Amino acid sequence: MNEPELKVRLKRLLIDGLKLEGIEPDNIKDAEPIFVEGLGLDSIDALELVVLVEEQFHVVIPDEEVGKQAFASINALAAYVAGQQAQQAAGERA
Amino acid sequence: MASRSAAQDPERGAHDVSTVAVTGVGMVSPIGVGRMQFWDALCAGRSGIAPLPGAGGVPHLAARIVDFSPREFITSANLRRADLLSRTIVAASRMALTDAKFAAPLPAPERIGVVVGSVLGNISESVQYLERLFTKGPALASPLMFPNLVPNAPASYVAMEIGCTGANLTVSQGEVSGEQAIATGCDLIRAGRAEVVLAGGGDELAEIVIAGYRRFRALSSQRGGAEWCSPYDAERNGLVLGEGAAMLVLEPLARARERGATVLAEIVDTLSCGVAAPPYDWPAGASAAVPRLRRLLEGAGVAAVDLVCGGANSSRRLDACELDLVARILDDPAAATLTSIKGAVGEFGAAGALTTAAACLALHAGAVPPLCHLRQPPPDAVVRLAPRTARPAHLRNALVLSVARGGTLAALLLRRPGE
Amino acid sequence: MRRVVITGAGSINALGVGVPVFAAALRASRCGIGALTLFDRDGYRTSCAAQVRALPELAWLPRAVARRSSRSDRFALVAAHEALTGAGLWSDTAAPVAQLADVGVVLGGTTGGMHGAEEYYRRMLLQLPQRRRSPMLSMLVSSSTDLVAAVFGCQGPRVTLSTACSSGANALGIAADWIRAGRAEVVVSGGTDSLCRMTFSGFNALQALDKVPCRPFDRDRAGLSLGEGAAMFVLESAAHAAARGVTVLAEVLGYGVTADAYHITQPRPDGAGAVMAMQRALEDSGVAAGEIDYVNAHGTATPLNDLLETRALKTLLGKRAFAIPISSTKSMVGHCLAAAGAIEALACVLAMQGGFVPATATLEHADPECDLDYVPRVSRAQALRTVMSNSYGFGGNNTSIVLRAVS
Repeated sequence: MNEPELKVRLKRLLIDGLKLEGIEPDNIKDAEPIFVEGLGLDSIDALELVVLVEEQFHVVIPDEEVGKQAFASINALAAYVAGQQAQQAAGERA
Repeated sequence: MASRSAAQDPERGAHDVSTVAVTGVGMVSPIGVGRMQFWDALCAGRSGIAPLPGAGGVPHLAARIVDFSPREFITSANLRRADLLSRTIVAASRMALTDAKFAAPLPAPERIGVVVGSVLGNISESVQYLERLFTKGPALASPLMFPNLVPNAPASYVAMEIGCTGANLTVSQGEVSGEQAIATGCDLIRAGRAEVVLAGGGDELAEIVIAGYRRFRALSSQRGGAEWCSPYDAERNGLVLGEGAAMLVLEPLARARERGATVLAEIVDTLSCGVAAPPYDWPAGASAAVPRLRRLLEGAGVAAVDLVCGGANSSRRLDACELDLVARILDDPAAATLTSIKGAVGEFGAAGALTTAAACLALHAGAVPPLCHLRQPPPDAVVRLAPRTARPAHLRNALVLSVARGGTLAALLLRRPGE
Repeated sequence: MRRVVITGAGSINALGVGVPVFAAALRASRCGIGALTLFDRDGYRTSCAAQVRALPELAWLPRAVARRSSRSDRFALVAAHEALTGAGLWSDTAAPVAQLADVGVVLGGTTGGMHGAEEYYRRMLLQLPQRRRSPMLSMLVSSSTDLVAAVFGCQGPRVTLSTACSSGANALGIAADWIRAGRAEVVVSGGTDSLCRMTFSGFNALQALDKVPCRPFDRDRAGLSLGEGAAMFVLESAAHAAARGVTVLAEVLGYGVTADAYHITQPRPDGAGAVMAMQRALEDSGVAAGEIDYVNAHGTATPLNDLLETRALKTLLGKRAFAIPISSTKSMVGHCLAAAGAIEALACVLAMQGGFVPATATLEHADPECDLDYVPRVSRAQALRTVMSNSYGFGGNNTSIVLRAVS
């Protein structure tokens, strides 16, 4: 899938997975921090997001440090997922 | 009996706490959301029992909650992740508080307690959680869902929504969970542990619940006959499931009077005891409880009971047990009227909270809640059974009575204010 | 106000079966947290649990009851049997020594029969053959309460408390209130819980489990260790116990319970709910903070709980917080959820009876932010008169109990 599609999918994952009511993908800005005051997310949401991203995109977020960077913003998350998937594809071809 | 602490703590006030008043009720039920909708529908003899969508074959009737928008009642951001059962209980709590018409701001939050009863709790998410765990493995188990699975999640969400930090308890005792939650709430007030208590409970209808009852052939028509729900009826043939939540506002009667609140009913006393029962089934008879129930009535100076609100759910066994019990504990059963709301709302674990709310409204309105589907009273019934729509009556008192599978019996003795 | 005393006690947990075994293990600071073998532990961050290693043969239990009992049910029955026998109210061989018809039962439970029910569901889902008939009926937490009542013939008041980690403590509190209010003269009360995949995976998903046996108040603590078991008591009015001439083990002075109203898992940062529960327990008991000789902490060994609990204790006790011993027996029996409050109350009773303070057995390195006397590694001899036990449940439920020794 291309980058814009991936970002929309990630936003939908956030909204549906974390039960964000009354929020649409358009309300979440690509470059802004995900874990910012406005969305009211906490540590349980962070843990859930890890699980959802790992499951839906078949990637691994090995530890908190990686997680913090990956979840910095939708852009960061999309880049992480795309990067992981590319590595996996390369690994399969090798 | 007054708590020792009451003398030491001036903040507690000088109220006599021995009689508890019900000053507000709220509910989310298959026949309406909120006191007015619920009571109007109940009195009109309406039932929320209907065919389940998509169900093939029999049994397929159930009473579902309809037209409930949680966000109409729930404001706290904390409730974003709350499960549906918690939302119904929180919404019912909000409605009950509004009904009780406290002057703003609410009384000291640390003096407001919460007691919730539920049998199965968040059963639907429990099943989802396990399904995910077992098909995808521990690494993909849901950290968001897990905290909602503890039985005390609804009571915690109530505290978060209302902001009350007083005594917070959750009880689970089969089909007397609702009554026990309310009785425990009364005990907290009498012990001086809380000044106001939100008490009640709820249970949800889920596929796995229906499947479970089906396995034990407890549902109407499974042992023959057409599928229907008519508690105490001579032709009853099994229960029909439902769901819902009800919460009551309890406070000392003296306190309620002092603030000019409308008292729907007084809770004079409560009782719980055990009777011998087959494992996980209702007792055939509860005669062991008769002396205790008689003492409950005598202790309260109640010579005659006007209204009995039972937990009968159209099962052969439970309903017979209650009919027998009522005949034994009343000196003049023919002068009392017996009813059950299960024909309107179906059977679910903590339905007793909704039954108790209905009993309070009955005393307040002076009307007997109907047996909406009754066709034929059992030939040997000595107590009068309620008619199919509400009938005005001067009701001095009401006895809420319920028996759980496994043999726990609970009773709440209510009185009309001023009687 | 009627006084409430304890006249019988029963115990089963990872340290063994029976009260004498538990007392000896506490004194010896044995850690019962070891390898989880109850179910497949692949995929979890830890393989540690305080698992009950040997379930005794319950020869006195009717076969039909034993067959349909869940793991939690059996723990409750074992402990209730020991408590009632010790209180002189039950004998396996003789006819019931006393009519138990008016005895009440109030237990705390969280998982109930989930261990069996989830396995049944797992096999159904994965289309594996079932090992036993459906254990769904014993799934409810009230099953243990009903079974104890049925086996021992108790027909007094009955209820089951389910407030997560504080269930056992709340059950004892409700039992005491019933006796004070005259609802019953004798009440069997306590808590029971068993390990199961649901809770193990849930705490695992929340990253709340330590990879090694939990280390409460330790600088390097990294989470809790789950445990299982039951502790049961016979609570009785002092007058009734005196009339029977039975030995009294301890007195239940009072309790307090509050809600954080803050978050579904995290405790209030200011500890106000915990402090208020302790204050209410003291008021209810007619005891001043300065009279507390020992505190059995909730002490789950999560980074957050232990820090906030330390602060709450300092808020309540002031300077005295530094002068008295405080320990977490979860270092030895793990976190037994609904049974925890009851097991810890029992540890308090045994401590007072034996004149010793249980240790935080796994505490190796002091945390400068948890700088109270947490009795590291070894128990110590000390006369105790008045003690407090704290339990903080998921969802912000705080309960404190105050107990007193008998001279």
